Amino acid sequence: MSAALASAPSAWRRATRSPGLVVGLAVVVAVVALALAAPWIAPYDPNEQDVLSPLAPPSAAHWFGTDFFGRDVLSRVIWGARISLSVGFLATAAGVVAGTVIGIVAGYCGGWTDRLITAATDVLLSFPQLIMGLLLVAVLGPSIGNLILAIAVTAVPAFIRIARGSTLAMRQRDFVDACRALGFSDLRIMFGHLLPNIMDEVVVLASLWLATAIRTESTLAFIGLGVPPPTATWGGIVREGFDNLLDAPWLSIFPSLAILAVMIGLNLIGDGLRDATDPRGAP
Amino acid sequence: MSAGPLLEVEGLSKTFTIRRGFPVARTATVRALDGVSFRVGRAEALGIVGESGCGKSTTARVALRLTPADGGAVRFDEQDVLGASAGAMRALRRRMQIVFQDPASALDPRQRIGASLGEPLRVHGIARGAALRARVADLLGEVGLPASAAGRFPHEFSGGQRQRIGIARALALGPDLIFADEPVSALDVSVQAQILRLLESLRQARNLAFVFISHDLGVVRHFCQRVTVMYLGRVVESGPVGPLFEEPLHPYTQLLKVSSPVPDPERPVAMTLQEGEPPSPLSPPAGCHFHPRCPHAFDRCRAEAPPLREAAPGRAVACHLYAQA
Amino acid sequence: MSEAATNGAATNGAAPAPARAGATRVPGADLLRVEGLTTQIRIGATWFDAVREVSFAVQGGETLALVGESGCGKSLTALSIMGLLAPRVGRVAAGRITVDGVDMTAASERQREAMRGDRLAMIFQEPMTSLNPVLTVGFQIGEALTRHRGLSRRAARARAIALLDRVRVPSAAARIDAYPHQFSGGMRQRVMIAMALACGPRVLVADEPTTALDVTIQAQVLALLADIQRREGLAVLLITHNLGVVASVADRVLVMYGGDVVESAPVRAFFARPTHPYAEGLLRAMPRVDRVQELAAIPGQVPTLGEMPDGCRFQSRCPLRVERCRERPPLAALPGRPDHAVRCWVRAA
Repeated sequence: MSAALASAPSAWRRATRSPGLVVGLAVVVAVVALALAAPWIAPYDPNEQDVLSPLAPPSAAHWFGTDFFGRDVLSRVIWGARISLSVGFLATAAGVVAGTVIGIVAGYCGGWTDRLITAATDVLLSFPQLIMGLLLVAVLGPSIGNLILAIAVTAVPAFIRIARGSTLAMRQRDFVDACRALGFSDLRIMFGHLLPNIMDEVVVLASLWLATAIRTESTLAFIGLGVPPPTATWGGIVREGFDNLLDAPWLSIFPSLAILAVMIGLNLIGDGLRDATDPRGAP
Repeated sequence: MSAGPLLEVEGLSKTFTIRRGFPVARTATVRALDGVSFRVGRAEALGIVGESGCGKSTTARVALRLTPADGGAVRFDEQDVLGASAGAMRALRRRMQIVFQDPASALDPRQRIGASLGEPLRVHGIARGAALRARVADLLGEVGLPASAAGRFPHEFSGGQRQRIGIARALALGPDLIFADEPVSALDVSVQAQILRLLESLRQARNLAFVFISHDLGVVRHFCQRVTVMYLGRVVESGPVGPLFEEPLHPYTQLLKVSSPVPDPERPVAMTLQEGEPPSPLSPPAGCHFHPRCPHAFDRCRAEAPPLREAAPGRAVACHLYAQA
Repeated sequence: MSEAATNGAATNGAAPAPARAGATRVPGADLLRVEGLTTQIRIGATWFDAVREVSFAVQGGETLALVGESGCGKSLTALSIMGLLAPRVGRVAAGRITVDGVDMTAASERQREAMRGDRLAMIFQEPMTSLNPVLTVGFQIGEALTRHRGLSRRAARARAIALLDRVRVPSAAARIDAYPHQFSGGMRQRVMIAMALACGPRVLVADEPTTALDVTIQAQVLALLADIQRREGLAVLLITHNLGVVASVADRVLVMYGGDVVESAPVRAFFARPTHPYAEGLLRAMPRVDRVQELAAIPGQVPTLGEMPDGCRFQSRCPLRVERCRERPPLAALPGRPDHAVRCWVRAA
């Protein structure tokens, strides 16, 4: 049986064979490409008002219709993707970096350092993530920077927890002691040896958290704590359309579909990566 | 160059605290090492044998300061190891290395073999660039692996090959002493013999001393010159391999010997239906730890722990049966 | 009750002549018979022969040792006998396995299930992972009795205490409600043996039963197994890598390499004259505590299943290799020694 295990394909090859992961990647890459290409592909300026045709239903001229101010919804969704995605990416990246570093330190150093960090993490985790984001934005004030900061802070405890747990497991391996016996510094062991070995789990969680971060941004925007108008973000567009939900449902439906697509895409990626990196899931 | 022993371990003690239980955790202590002493000469292989929980692995970890000691002294080439400053310790680490039992766990799975062997050389400023690559190739050659192994990852190798890599890494800094913690226990017999022969040739070629930790008396008899037997954190007997295994003094060593299977149907292991599980290290018996399993135990054994004393030239035993009085 | 019915049906259906009547105690009857067993395992999309045409028989009261190193097919042979190969990864491709007169290869999964834990029992290497950590040992020992024998919970519990006592767990009645983690390694292995014995099996497959134990505990467990075997007339198939254990407890030995049986002999004859170059090499590679001998390593390593050479599978590491080794040698008896067979062109000539 050991021969069968030894020749098991690498995680990457397993990953690329998983249809969910491939579909998820395709969706997310497509949305990111659209966002990046916004200046060239968006048919209208997202903030240009056409007072003559407010609340126009989808048509050849305006595929997604227009909003109350006569702005093209398609263009606003495309431009909105830029803000929503970059807030999500930046916030997740900041949360991942901070959480992973703190988690590795806690797991490797142990003792009081670990107890202190774990206690703080538990306190933070006991707040619902959305409420914490809401509180932070309310205190800091709505701006893109603060939004990113708030969402990042909500992500940190989850990454501390997973990085600490993986580090504790990895620390049991003899190679960590081999490194110490060879006279390597703690920093080198933590970030040269432990970090690469726990990245799998961190990346899986990050892809799932990216979805959460984008959703949080949209939710905060929807309740009016997002990026201030008139800047288009997905949550903001949904909110603006909400007032006319019954007579012009397209205003909210199309940005909601965009959010949904990215959520599904990112979750497919996360699940696919988890299956690919978890040896128990090997076929 | 001094003529004293290379490694001197004196009265080493280590107590672990375990917190167990829910909802109210209780604290229990395990005396993993209880006044362990031994010496290793230059280019000498000392075996430490004993069963699980006897503290043999802890001895290596504490002596290398991978785990802090509670008491006792370790002197390497007449330098104090346990009290060494960070700088002095870094220098000492170049001279004392360790090889682990499980070669799969002992290598960083994300690091190519070349990086794994080269990193200590870079960290200690021994070599860089082309010189470093040449050193890595030499190391691989020394343990019988092709230079092309440098570009591969640990999982691409078999258990025996990985153990060779672990040995090469321990050799990278040119040590004088290697702690080998069950280095062949995870390997099949045919591969085990390959690794033992490799270690033997390295010992001679490099004038290496070994602290060779094993539960397998046959392996220790083959590889070592002297042996120390441990039971529940204490040294119970020590001496040269031949006499010690031919004629073990301590009743525990005797039990170990008759229980060790040999490939000879005329000499089956002594199979007794009697009980005699080793006691839990959490609550070792008073007096001599071995007395509940000992066929010769008498009152004194239950009350008083026998000290390790010389029983014959070069041989020491901790047993009241051999007390001169 | 339905298991008992199936059980009976299987017996009546498959064993025409002496097996059932004599099943209680006939020394000399083959309780386990394996004929031409070929087991394949799947790697990627390809099925490889991991056990090739293995045949042997074990009588009541006899211990047959299957020895070899990792990947030699000894554990797969055990799993094939138990019908416990992981589906989709392993399969019995050919051969016949008969346990106490019942043809296991022809039996349905239900019938095999009725045999397992009843007349055919197995103990594993690692008692901690083989026992369920959240159930008491008493429940686990009694489970086979409630399943296979239809005993009430109370009766099963009483029997479980007797069994724990039988395997010499001290104060059995008090420890029956303890959980596996409250036992030491040696005691857990005793619990596993008690489980295996619950229904009074005829055939016991022991896969590295003492490998995870310290030597002094190993000696106790081996003694216990030998005692039980002698009293109950069990046929024991002992899977091990340890030639010392083989020498101590086995009656016959089968050495496996690369899925082939390369040597088969009574234990004394084997250790007196190991004949296959691999078996000889193994013995010379084993350091011994009772004497000093030069260690001779077998060069190289076991090829993976995909790289196995045609013909003799040991040829790539064999010091005696000749041209003819490209053909697969038969397992042939040595001249004048009908019970000592070797699969080697050079040595069996």
